[in-house]
Amino acid sequence: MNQLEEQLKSLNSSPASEPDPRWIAQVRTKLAWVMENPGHVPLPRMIPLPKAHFRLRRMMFAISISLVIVMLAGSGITYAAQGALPDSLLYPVKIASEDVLIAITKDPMKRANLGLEFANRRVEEINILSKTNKLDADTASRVQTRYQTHVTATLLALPTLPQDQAQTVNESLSQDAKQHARITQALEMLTTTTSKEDTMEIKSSVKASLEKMRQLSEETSRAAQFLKEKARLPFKWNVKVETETDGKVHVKIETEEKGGKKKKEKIEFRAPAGVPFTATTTWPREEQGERNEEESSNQLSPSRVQATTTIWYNLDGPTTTSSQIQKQLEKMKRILKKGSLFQLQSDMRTDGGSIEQRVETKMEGSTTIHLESEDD
Amino acid sequence: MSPEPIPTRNKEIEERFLAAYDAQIKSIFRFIYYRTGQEKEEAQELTQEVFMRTWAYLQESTRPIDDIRAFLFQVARNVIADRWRKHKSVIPWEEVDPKDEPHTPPHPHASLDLLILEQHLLKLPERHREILTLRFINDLSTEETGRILNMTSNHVAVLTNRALKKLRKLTPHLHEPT
Repeated sequence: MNQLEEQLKSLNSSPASEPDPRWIAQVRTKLAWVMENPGHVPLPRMIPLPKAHFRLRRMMFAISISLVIVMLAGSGITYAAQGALPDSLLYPVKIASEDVLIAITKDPMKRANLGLEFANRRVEEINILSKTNKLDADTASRVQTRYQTHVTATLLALPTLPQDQAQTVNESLSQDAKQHARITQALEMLTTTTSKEDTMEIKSSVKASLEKMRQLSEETSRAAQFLKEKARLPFKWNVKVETETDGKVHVKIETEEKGGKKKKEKIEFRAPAGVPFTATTTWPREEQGERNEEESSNQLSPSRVQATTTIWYNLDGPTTTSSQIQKQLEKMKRILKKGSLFQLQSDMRTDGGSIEQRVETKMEGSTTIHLESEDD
Repeated sequence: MSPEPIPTRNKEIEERFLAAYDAQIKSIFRFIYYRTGQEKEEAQELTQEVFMRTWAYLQESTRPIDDIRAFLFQVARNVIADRWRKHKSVIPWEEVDPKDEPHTPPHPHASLDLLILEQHLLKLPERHREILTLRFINDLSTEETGRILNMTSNHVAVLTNRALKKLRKLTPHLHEPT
């Protein structure tokens, strides 16, 4: 009786819900600042306050830039700038004119298309520069950052569009992103093969930028594909783009199905990094088959279920020894024996066929446990 | 006698509020974390909002808060409700500086049972999750919980039992003697 309560109480010190001390300090500083400067900060009442603030800033920026552009426009420089490459003097004009265009475009559909168009431009630029051997680390990273901005803007615009428009944009997004992934991958290979000793360092940072671009375009195309397939079902969805500390951007889609039951799901599109180790357990085991029989009969055929546990071991982690991996596998096996993880899986078995569930656990380093179950 | 001008800053209140921040930030964060779906980033955002809003209230209102802890929990519930009432907003990409991104350090000693328990907690209906979080994770009494949720302590006790029963059903293996 009391054990469960004890366990619940111990969540009070669960590392998963332990706030980051740096964050605590940060918020405290913010709070103290707000106290010291009464009236300086509009204190929050409604949630999307920072956004409005941000929009205003962007508009001011756009106005000041557009003044410059209007002055330049007469001389035809803006027009000439449209073909400029990042190494050209006119390139900043090109970038600025893009910003203005985005800022003055109100129609969300047109904005989404602009984002896509500009993303295409970035890939083209990097393609030309790379092929003419003019791509340096700085340019690569700048172009990559802008590429991210454009793709992200398009992705985030999707849920705000009406269904049919979203599909049109999504269709082009899916094709373009696939194309981008192909191009950047080819360029990556090119940088690897042509690298000489002395330019190694530059090349590797160029390569890192290309890699980021490719990774984002791959995730985007996967996400677009997913939306395409899901398109006919009536469901609520939302796109989320998250940035990691290393600057990588990840695409997530949250869906909410409105059927008899409300089901919330978050789909990630990143390819797992690291080295997979797989352990397979057959379930139910003979000795405890009867205990879980009733659960399994609802959704599954009473036949055996095989649970394959793949642990993606992150090589960047500080500890990578095979004995540790072994230990982790042992742990996983123990849980599978207990049947507890199977319960996690059984919830996911709604679509039929083989389904995957990802459980991000916070145990022992940054490990992603990838669970797969299939009917035998 | 002329009325005293209202001071723009009140050191004493500021200090007391910062003390309340230090004392309560973790439990408010945990409450929001378990209540909303165990996402750190979002919980951080909402928690910050709770303290900012409470401060805004303290600045404007003349009514004193007698129980700051209960008040903070109530604000937290409002913040959560507001967030859900609005369409959940997404972070515009340009605003996020990678340096500001929360970095989650690995937790070497998280016990598996607790991880499983957390997963199951997520499956409970919200009302139940909320009451279990307040009662056990935040370790509040039935009276305090009642004040936050606007219920009698009797009602809280009944709901707690019901929620525990449900959770127990979901996690039969956790109570086997090991």
